[in-house]
Amino acid sequence: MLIDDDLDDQEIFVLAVEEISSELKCIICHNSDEALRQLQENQTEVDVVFLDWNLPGSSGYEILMQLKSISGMENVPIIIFSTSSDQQTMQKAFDLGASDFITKPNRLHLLVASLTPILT
Amino acid sequence: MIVSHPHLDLLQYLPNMVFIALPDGKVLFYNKKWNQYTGAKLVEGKEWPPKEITHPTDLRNSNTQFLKQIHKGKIFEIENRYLQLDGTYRWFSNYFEPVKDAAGTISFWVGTAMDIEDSKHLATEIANRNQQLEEIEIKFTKLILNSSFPIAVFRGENLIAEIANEAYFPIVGKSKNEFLGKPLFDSLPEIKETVAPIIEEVIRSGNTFTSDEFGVNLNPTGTANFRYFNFIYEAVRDSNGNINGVMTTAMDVTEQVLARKALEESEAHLELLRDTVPAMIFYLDNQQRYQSYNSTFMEWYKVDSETAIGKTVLEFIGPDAYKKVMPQLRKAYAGQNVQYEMTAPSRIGPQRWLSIVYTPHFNTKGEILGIIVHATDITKSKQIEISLRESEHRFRSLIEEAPVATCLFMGPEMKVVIANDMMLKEWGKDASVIGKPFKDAVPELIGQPFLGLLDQVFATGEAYSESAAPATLEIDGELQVSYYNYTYKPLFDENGAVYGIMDMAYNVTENVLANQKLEASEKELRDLINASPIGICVVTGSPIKVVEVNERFLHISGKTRAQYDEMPYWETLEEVAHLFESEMNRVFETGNRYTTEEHKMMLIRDGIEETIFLTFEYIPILNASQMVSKVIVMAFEVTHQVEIRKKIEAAVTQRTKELAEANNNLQRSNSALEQFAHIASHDLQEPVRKISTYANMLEIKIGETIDGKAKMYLDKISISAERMSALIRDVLAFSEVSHHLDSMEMVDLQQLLQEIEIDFELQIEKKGAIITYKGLPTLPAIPTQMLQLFSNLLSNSLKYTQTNTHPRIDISSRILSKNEIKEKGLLENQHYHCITFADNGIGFDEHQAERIFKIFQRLHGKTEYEGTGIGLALCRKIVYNHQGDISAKPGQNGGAVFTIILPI
Repeated sequence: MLIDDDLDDQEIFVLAVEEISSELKCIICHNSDEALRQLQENQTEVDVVFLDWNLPGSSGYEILMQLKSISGMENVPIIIFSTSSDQQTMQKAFDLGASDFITKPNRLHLLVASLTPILT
Repeated sequence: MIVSHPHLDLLQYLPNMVFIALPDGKVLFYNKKWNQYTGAKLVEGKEWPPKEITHPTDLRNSNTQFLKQIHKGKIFEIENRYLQLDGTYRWFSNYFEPVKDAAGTISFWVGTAMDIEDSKHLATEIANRNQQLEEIEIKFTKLILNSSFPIAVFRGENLIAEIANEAYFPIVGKSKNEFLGKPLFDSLPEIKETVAPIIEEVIRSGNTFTSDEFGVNLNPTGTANFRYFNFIYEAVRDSNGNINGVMTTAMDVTEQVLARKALEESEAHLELLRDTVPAMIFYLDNQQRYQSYNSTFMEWYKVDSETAIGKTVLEFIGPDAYKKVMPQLRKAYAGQNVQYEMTAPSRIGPQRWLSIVYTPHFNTKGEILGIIVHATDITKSKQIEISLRESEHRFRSLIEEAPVATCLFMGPEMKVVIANDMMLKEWGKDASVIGKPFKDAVPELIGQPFLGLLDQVFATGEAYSESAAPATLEIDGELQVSYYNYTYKPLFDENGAVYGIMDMAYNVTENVLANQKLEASEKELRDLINASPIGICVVTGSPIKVVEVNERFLHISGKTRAQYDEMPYWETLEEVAHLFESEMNRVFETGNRYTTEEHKMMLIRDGIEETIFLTFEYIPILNASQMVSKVIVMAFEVTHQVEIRKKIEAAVTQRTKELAEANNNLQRSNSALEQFAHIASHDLQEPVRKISTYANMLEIKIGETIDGKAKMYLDKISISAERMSALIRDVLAFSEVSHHLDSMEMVDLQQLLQEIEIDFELQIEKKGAIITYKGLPTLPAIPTQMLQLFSNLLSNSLKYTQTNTHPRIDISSRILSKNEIKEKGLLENQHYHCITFADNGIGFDEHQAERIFKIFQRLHGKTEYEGTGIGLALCRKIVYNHQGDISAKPGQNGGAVFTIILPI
């Protein structure tokens, strides 16, 4: 699952995922509310969540905590997806239970390279 | 109900403590006055007296008496003590009066309590006084009875003999029983004429009178025993001080009277003789034989006209007397006229003085035939002369032994006749001056006022005295000024003419000098007080009056010296009395000083109301008995200072406020700016990243199909986007430096550099760079910022390398010395590490040393060396953020040297 409000990033992300494997299924959510609703409905289908750190409305920290608090989500890895690579932000995300922190790259093949170890 | 309420209310208005008791003794009602005087709330319905306030000693007795008396049904009084508000007991007289109904039965008792404490005291005092008087009377009587002098006391109009001692009765010739208890003039009618007026006068005036030498025959029945008495009459007073009698004391003066009478008798005889006896005249022949003599001679020698004729002088007066006269006789027989004086025995006195003149009797040949003797009794004049001599001698010894310097000047030339040792010592002279005129004896006095004054006393006969007069005298060869209290007293002869002056002088130099010193120091103190820029005023207590005040105090208080002199202090300073009078009183009472600072007050100064500020003190001065005798007021006007300070304070407050506002604004705008930079960089990053991404995707998609130019354009898009991205990243980093100030921890730079070396491994390897660092310190810093700092510096050095040269980077550290800290204008109580980062790169010109730290400043073209122009600016910001400093200079052998200073 990808939670990102940026349509371009959604597209690039989907392209990257398709490049890795056509069998992978992507659920795209535009905001945290949508994501939370879907996860509460069918949690079992999600293997990994990519969360954009800068979403409108709630802050990344809040959403991260909300996601973690959903039952059954405790062990699902949540990977932070962000433009920034700020050390402090990263540390805080890890402290709150994020599994990884990927800076949004400006090359498709770099994104593919970043996602491959996670999705295979 | 026996007494109706209105009546009881009426009793409330009585000024006395009133109560109503029932016939059985129970008190029905106490009026309010009881409560007012005693403070107790008395319980009604109990027997009198009220237990709450009655003295425990009186309680039982009063009650018993009360119950006994009300049975009798008559007016009665009981005295007892009641406790007062102040906790003391006072005596009261309780007056009880029965109120009866028409049938004569007692309805109730009205009681009134009256304070008799004072009258009770009075009675006791009177009793005490009477007793004292009685005691005195008894003592007096005893004194009289035991006296060996005859004493008697007569009292009353008839002068009844009240007391008389045993010695008295013989004088009046009465027995005790005959005399005592009877009027004086009944017992002794014979003395009434002489004594009654005296006694009357004594009783009238209270003066003491003495009647002299009253002769009394103490043994009227036997051999006469005449004694003489002086009777002393003194007034006798009663206890009120009124004269009600006389006391008579008799002094036996018989011996004196008899002696005097004998003297008078003999003197009278002598006078008679002197008056009637002319000179003795007799004639001696050349053989010293009496040839003739007159009757005076006969009387003197008690001889008849024949006895001495023909006898020689030796034969007639005997060898002893002859021895005395023989030398004189010899001279006379030698032809001289001789006059001499001698004492001779006489029948009219033990010794008489005779003035004797021998006149030789010559014949025509000049031969001596005999001597005519003329002898005159000069006893009286001789006595006068002797006594004069004696008195002069006494006078002289008086002067010589006088305890003060004394001398006697005689005659108009002021001859020093007598001067005692003390006077000689004062003059600084010896006894040789005696006999000299004063101006020759003490010549240094010429030109000083004393000689003139002596002349004046001699001329006018008026004594002159002076105190603390300075005199310059030569003592031990040196002129010295001494001070004297002296008197010039004229001495008069029998004709009232001045014949001499007595000078008595008392050296007071020490006192005068001490006084002068005291005066000088007092004057100094006064001058000091007056010159003091502090207002000083000295006051004494009750009422508080100014004794000393300086000009400054007058100026501060705006009052005149006359106002302080005429009125008490607090009347002069009436407008501030309500503020400080009690404080000053407290200083007088307790001896503790009072201080107040910058006290605001309204003072009327020269008639104008002014609000001023004073800092002043009341300082107590203790006298020998440790009581506050004076208080010094020290006042310092601080109005001007207070006003200025208030202005300054207001200005400071205003500026502080403005500064705080400016700070707030600055902080707000700073954080807004940082936030802006942060957000802007984030939001800018997105599109830039997308440009990159899509340019890249476009290249993948159509890269193979487009021509070289199109491909170049595509590359330019990619490169620009990458550069933009890097710029944004660095700006973001720069904007975030000042954050996270709280995350300081100990950072080991040695270890940090190792980590950085790993990060830059590829570049280092590629360029063959050599990096040395050793003994770098561990210091308090923000780890990420230190990482950024050294990464940037290293990246910088690896970037600006010289071609064909292996880059070399040397990092070292030391601690700054005190002097260096001072020179660099760093905090002097702080220690600093100084880290040097030197490379052998392209370096820079000295004048560009500052410029390289400015943001977006680049010294080189982008194509030559890539970079955003933020790196070193970021480094400076990080170092500043750590309260340190960073500077750069060209290295000695090319390259650049960065010096980083960070606090330990």
